[in-house]
Amino acid sequence: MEHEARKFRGARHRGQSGASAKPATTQRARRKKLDRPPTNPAANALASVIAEVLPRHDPENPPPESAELYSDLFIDSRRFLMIIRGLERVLGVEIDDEDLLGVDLITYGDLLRFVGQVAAKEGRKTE
Amino acid sequence: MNEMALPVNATSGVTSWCNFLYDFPEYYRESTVTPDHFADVAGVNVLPQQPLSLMKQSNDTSRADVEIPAPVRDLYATYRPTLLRRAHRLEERLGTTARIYFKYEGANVSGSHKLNSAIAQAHYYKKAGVKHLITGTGAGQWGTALSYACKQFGLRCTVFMVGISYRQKPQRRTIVELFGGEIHESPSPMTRTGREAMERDPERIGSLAVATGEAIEMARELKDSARFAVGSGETCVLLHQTVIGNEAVRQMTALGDFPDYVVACMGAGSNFAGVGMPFLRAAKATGRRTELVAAEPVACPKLTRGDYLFDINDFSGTTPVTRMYTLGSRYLAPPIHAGGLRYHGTSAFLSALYAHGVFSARAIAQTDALGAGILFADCEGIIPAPESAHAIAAAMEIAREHKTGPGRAILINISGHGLFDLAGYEEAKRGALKDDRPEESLIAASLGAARARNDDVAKALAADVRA
Repeated sequence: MEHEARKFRGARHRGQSGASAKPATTQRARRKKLDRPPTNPAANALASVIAEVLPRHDPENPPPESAELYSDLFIDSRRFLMIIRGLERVLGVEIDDEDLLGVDLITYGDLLRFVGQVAAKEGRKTE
Repeated sequence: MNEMALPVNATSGVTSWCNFLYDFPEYYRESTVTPDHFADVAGVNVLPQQPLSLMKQSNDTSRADVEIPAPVRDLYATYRPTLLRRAHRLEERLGTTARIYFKYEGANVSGSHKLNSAIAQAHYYKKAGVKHLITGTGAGQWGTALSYACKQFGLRCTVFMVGISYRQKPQRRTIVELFGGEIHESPSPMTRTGREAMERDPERIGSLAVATGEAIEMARELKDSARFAVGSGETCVLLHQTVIGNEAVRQMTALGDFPDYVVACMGAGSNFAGVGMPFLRAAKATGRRTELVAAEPVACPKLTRGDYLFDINDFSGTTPVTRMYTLGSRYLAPPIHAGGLRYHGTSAFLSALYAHGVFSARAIAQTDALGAGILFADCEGIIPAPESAHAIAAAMEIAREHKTGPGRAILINISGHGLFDLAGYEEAKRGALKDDRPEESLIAASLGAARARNDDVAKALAADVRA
């Protein structure tokens, strides 16, 4: 059964921090190349929030866009909410249910594009 | 003022829910400590089953009150405020100096308090673009409430109902279907979770953990516009139910009294928290003291005999592991008539409160509960749900402990009506109720498995701290 086979793992990935800490990615993610560095405010905001939620991540060296949020970065529903709250604080926006309509968030690239859309929407509102 | 009844306009105007996380942030934090548990699968969409709005409600310690959205208030207005009155005749029959009040949540189309959260959830899921809600239900109150709420918001509804209750209360199935919902007896052959449970439970007695697991599995497989909805335990559900307590505080104030005890039955905790938490806030604000008392069945004594462990919420094992008072997710409670109280665990937040002595609990035998229900119906003209009858029995115990001396005020929340439970009351009248004491070996085996899992979790968390 699934819950019998399931292992409680990943806690050390989440909690480890400091200069000696290594990026919390699986071997699969480590094999992937860095697709795109953060070059815009939305990407910078996401990188800083990710670094807060997953302390082993360095905002100067964010995950590759192809990294999977769940299996590579260990983002579950609880951390997803932490990321949303962090983005709301950093971007000064409110993210609500309507913003997530039709959105699929599987990879870090998906999340980057979502953050860009939210930031753009809020920008239009304030213009 | 006639203290037997209360003018409706004295209690209208409740426009917000009581955010008890604001009052008890330390217990919120304790309830959210969970280990990582990631399956080794690729391509997972991390968007949660719940709308963002509900997730935020379950994790918000910043606001004392949460405004009830206008569409939800409009539907609440079709049956709220609910009745609160003093049970003079019951007091006389008990020969107590206690002043016993009750609030009655059974006078709506679903017959229980469950509608308070069903309407709210249907509203938020609709806003999130969901078109189909899937759920598990124990005695059927939640399933009927959700089917009605879905109908109001134009959503499709599928319900997995615990087998023993499905057969005991066929009217629940009819109501779900009247509102356009689909309903299935659980465990069912439709899901892997159900098929596995049927191997262990060939009589298909079922449990809420299995029914919930089936609903989650179906929602995950349908993806896209289908989502799982839960009727109790989740903090946002408890929040929605505080409309009961917010109203009751106003009503008790209008009656010039304040309860020394607030008594409610405890399944996963929504009606208990709903009536109780606003009174804790009101007591603190006014320098008074009130004691919350949870009534649970002897057949499923998670508070009085369970352990405070990291455990699984549903049988599919896909929901987050949370720390709660539990008998273990594999515990199959005897088939009592109070099907809504057969859940193996309790809300993580309420468990943290209980662990720190914020409220007390009493285990009530089914015979005592239904006996209390019959007496209550005789005295007050309302047939309570068997679940609510547990609260009445607990309140009667308290009243009998105060036969002399200054009278205490006791408020009971009658969470629903018992009009679909007449077979149980007939059995009680005939003295034919089955013994509902649980098999000790079942409790021992289930708790043993839960403790082993808890040890794994504790090790993972300790490793996390060391790192």
